[in-house]
Amino acid sequence: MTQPFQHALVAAGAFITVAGGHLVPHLFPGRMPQVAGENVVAMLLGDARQELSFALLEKADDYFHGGARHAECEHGLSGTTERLPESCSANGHAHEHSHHSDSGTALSGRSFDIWTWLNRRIHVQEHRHAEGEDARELLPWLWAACRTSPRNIQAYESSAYVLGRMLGQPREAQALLEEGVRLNPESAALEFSLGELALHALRDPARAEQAFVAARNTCRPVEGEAGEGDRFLLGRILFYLGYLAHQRGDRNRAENYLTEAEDEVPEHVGTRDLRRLLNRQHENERKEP
Amino acid sequence: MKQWLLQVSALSKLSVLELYRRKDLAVVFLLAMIILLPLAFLAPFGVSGASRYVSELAMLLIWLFSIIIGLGVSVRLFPPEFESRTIYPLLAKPVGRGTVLFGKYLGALSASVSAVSVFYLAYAVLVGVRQGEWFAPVLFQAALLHVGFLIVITALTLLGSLVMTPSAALTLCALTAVGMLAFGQRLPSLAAAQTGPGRWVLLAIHWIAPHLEFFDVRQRLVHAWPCVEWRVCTAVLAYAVCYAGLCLALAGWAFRRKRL
Repeated sequence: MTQPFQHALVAAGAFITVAGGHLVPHLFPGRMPQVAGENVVAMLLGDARQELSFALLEKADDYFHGGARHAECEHGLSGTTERLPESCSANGHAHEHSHHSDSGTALSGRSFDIWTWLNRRIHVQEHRHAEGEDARELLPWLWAACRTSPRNIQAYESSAYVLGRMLGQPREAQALLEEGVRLNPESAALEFSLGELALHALRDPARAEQAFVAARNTCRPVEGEAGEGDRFLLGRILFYLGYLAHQRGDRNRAENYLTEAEDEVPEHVGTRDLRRLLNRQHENERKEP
Repeated sequence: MKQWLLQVSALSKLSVLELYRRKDLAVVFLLAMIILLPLAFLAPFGVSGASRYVSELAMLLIWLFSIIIGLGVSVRLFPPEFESRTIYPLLAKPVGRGTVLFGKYLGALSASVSAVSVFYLAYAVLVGVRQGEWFAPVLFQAALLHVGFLIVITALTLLGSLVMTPSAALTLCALTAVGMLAFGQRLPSLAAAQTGPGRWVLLAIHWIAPHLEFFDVRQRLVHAWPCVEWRVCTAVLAYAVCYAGLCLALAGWAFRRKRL
């Protein structure tokens, strides 16, 4: 008699628990500590995942430097707004910067420190840049950085750069950037990267223009120093939009973008280049009979 | 001399047997496989071919497990003997206290080295299968320097277990090992950035604490940098032997003064 009663009690308890679990979000909408649909990493780590994601991105940067940490090196995947320049990948040899012997410089400069001397000979004091197929080694850390925090825009940009430019896989880079845009619809930088990729690697000006227009619509620089980065990005977006309009022969649209660029970012190198491009077109038209 | 060698080998054999009897090695090996095998098949963004991340994680686990095994084996050498009073029949054999100490130390070291050898062998197979590079010279050097690390850490823990409680010795030695591996290389620059007593404390740590980071050449191994110069490698191993000798001399002194 007791056993069936206990079973019924357990079943009722289980039913109440499940029903309560489903009912609570409806009873307290918007007041729940977790957002429905968020993944386990998001729930477990909260805001810490952004920090973890940056740490993973730094790890990828170390891999780019052959396992060495070089914060002062101007060539890098993270830590700078301007990513890896072309000259960097061409410069694949191992080299040494003047700041390499930073461990103990202040003290060992005065006297001979045997421990520092040994450390410098044991641990690698130079670095090299990953190039070609070697760039594959960066991908696991970049992948982990993107998956840990989908809000890490830089992780998406760096991953797309490695996939698209260093490994020559623009389709995968495009898919990744589109995923980044979907998860960060407010990011002009990702739309811009997508536009650059479509223009340079995929040779798809229509898709590129679509991305640059989306980037233009999301890029809203604030006044003062805080908006400096966004203003620089805006200058680049307007240059590309003007350039693409010029390429397809839409002179009025190109002139409009130049006017907008001169109003918003008159000193920007992109504005200057766009002006030069359109002036050259004017001159050519005048010369032609 | 022959009798002394027999005594030492008998004592050390006991420590090795204890490690394998406790199945610590099997547990950590299984754990490493559970962590590494799924990671080995990862294809980030649909692109396969990356292998250094697996090597790096494997080396990290090897170091972590070698610290756990090294500390675990050496901290258990004497305290259980004191607690169960089995040290009396051992010393009544008659075996000198110095012989017991050295024999047990050698046993702890042999046990740790044998465990690390198994790990390095597994690592060599993993790298060979994934990257097609079998037994690179830098791997031998890394393993050799890892043995140097174990020479120091087992001696240090043995000393700790004789002058403080086992748990205190374990905590302090684990902190020293992890702290020196993480910050040992940067101690001079950290000291230079400090003012007042903090600077002198850091400088004292720099000069006195065991520089365990000397033995860590994971970066060279994972990223295929060339070997450390062999004269530097020899100097580092000599440092390990001297540091361990000093620890054992202090441990011997503590053991002789200990009231049983």
